[in-house]
Amino acid sequence: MSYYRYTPRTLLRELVMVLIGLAWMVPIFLLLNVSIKPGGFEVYGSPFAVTSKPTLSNYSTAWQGSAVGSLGHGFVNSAIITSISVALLIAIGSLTAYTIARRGGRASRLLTGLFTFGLALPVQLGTIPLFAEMRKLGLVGTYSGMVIIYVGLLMPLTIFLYMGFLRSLPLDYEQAARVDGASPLRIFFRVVFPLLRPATGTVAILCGLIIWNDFFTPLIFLGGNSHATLPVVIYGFVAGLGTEWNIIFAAVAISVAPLVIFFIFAQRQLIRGYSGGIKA
Amino acid sequence: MASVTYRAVDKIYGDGLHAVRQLSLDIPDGAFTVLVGPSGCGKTTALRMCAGLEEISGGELLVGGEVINRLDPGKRDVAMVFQNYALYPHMSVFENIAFPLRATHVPAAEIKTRVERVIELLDLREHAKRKPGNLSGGQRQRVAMGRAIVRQPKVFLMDEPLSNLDAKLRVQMRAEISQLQHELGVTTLYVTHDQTEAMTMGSQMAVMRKGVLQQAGAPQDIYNDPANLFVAEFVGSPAMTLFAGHTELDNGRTVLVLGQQRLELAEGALARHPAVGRNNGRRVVVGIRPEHMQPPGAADSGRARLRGKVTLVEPLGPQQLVHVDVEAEPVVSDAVLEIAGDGDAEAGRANRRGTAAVRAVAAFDSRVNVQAGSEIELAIPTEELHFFDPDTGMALRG
Amino acid sequence: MAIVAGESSAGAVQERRPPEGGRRDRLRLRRGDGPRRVPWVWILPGLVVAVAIQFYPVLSGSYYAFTSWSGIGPSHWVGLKNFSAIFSNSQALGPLVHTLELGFAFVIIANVLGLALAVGLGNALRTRNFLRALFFAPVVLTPLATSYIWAYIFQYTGPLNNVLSALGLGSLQQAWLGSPTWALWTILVVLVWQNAGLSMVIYLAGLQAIPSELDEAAAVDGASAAYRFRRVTLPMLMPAILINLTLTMIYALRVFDQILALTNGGPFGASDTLATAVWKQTFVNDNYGYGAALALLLTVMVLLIAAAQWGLVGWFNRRASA
Repeated sequence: MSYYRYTPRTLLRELVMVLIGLAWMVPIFLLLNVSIKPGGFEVYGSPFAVTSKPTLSNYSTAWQGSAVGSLGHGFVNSAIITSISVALLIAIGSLTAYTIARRGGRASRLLTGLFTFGLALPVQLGTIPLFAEMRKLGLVGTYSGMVIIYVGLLMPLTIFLYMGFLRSLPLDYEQAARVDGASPLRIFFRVVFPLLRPATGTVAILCGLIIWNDFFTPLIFLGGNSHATLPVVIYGFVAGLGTEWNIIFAAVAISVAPLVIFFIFAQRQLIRGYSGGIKA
Repeated sequence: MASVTYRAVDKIYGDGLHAVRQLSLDIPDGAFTVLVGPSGCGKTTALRMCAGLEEISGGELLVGGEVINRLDPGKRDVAMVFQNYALYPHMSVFENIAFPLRATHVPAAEIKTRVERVIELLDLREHAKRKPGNLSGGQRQRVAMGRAIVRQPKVFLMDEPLSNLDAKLRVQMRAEISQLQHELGVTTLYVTHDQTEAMTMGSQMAVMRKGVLQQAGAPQDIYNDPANLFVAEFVGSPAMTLFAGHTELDNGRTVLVLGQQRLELAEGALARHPAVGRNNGRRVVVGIRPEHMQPPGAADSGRARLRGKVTLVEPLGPQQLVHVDVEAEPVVSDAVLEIAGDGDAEAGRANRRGTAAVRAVAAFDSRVNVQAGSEIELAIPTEELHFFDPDTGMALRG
Repeated sequence: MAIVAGESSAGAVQERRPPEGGRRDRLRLRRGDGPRRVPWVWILPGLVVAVAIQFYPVLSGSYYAFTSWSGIGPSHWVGLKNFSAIFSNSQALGPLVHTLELGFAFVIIANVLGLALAVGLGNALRTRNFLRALFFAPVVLTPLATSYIWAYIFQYTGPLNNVLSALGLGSLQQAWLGSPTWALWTILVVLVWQNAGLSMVIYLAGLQAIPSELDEAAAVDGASAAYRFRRVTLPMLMPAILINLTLTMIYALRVFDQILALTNGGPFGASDTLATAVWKQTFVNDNYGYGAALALLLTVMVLLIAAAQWGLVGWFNRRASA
């Protein structure tokens, strides 16, 4: 980079963009700044000023949570539901997508159309009957109920992502394995599934984030329940706190911390996953 | 080991494309047969039918005397090397080569010894633990060969295995594969679009065009006696030069008329092509190999001469290719244009369009002094001429 | 549930650049036999769960939209009564109107900003990757949690009014979230902040797909930067623009979390959208039938937009290949 020289124009452009970038981060700055203030006047009177008496007590207060449940519980619930759902989505989705992609023919096109349709379907309309059904089956307020819901709701996205990748995956690997005498199961598990790894990564990231961040579904299916996920816990917690922003912010900071850490480490894959580069 | 026999095999795809028509071909036990032709000629389809990756629409395909039309690919006991090798990127070299054995539930101890023997044979020992992504093109090629060899199959099938290598490596691997096949003695069917590979590697060569087998036989026989215009143009590099002309009987001598030029056919030529000699005014297509157009020397004073203008000289080291424009009627048959289009399309077509000149390419010894722009006379040994029917494109024999 | 951001972007951008060999294999699969031995039963788990959780409930929910079901007991068919109720007066029409207002404003601002950021980041910036990460970061953060930061910013005694008074603009101070005029637009600000980064990365990917020689050739031909952007870059960017328009529109229509955290639809329904109204009617007021009608309306709108995008992409591809 040492060869790089600014012209007045490029320097100006860089400065403007950096300034906009900093402005973009003002809410994050406020989040951290307020979360370590002792409270009282400092929270409202001078939100931008750095406190002279930083404290972490807000964090411990927030961590203990409220009657709705502690943040710790929310974490555990979110982690369990997210990881099991994502694992099942990968297992079932890759197999389904592979079958549809490789069978070809009219049935395949029909199924592709069905899942593409599911991609755009908003969740609200189906939620009402789904809730009634799940209540009948006793699955409301349970981990397994949430996992089933997420696997069903995100199956179209998972299949869509895998299909896009499978279409560009050369058939030669499978055919070579077939000539070598491998059974369909062996071809899928030993040859195809490992080759799908980039798509599996995208599925894990996108579905994982969607489930982790989801609020609507757990609000309905886990509201006021000990299995509530993090966003629901935070929602109940904030409702009980009113305007103690320093404690609210500590709770918010705790809840997004794993995402920030994840973002820092997987930034490239994340952006690629979102912007559509699921190429190998 | 086993022979492979195609008996009137057809391949018609769902969309109506007739990729292979009535292919009959016998590959004897242990032979190295090269299927060659331009892209889209059906050679790869023919190969994939043998592997079981394409259904056979009609006819019979036999391996070792047994019809295998309906047999599952894994049960045919054939091994295939793919154009891009299809090495599993997530497996090491060892695991890649072991895959066919593991897939068929060979005991682990036996897998180890067999794979190690193959790795030794292919000189891959230092790379056994590496993944294909970290290998050079030649090494990948060898791993792909290893995966085929390790099964000790009845037949090797190879689909353009050298097309992804650079020119130098291709020559090297060409020799390696030939030698390996020779040592192992496994019946091999090898597909390529490169006639040089076909000429050099195979004990037998089969030329295809538009799904139809044109000619099969020993490479040298095909070179010396191409069955039709397509084979004549396709086999040999640089290609045979073709002229349209006719014969005349002149005082008992047979004269070949090309444009304004008259070439008397020698006794040897008449003996080889009696059909041409007996005729007056018979339209023919004449083909001349580059090595049969030579600068006139003392030794061949009696030979026929062809005049033209040198347009380009390409030195190739021991040889030089001399492009000579000869005023004569060019041949514009489909077959010729197809070959021209497969290679250097524009040059090929431009040569043959409209003008009353044929661009002949002669191969001279590089010590001969030739200048572009000069007029030249070429000595033609008429007994080496190839004659074809201008309407059917078939060689005139007998 | 949060909208699936990458869904159509993933396919469409990639679709235009098939990797080597892709086309040939597809041809082969269509014409040839392929590895036909994959058993159909393998799709059963995926199909069953998707039908049970997604397709069947949506069909069933569509039925309830024409009933007066209260969540328990039998449902009574009422025909279009729920829909006529939605359109009966301006109070009931509020959620639909707000949804459209928010949707169109969000689509325009998020796209203009996203494109501006993408162009601004360009190739020449030293801090390019860092800034790209900065702008994108809010996309991955929990919408509900981050909305609370903005709820604080918009408080009457919060940082926004604080800054306004410091700038001598004290007269503009007000209770943003409590104002019927401003409540909806505070939500817009949060949506833009959280999602402009997503539009940006899709535009960046689109810009990268444009061969730089095109722009260079136009520059050598003497075209001005503005002219080149309008006549070379923008037309080539059409696929990314289409994806972004669709994604942002669908996102805005389905927004729920941020509204609940910021205004809870208030004051007096001034920021209620279809998504929040569905929730309130069904799960707070037990008006399942009416809620289902609102949800059906929302679903139809989203599907229409998705279908329009399909049509446009198809039209664009045909035109590009013609």
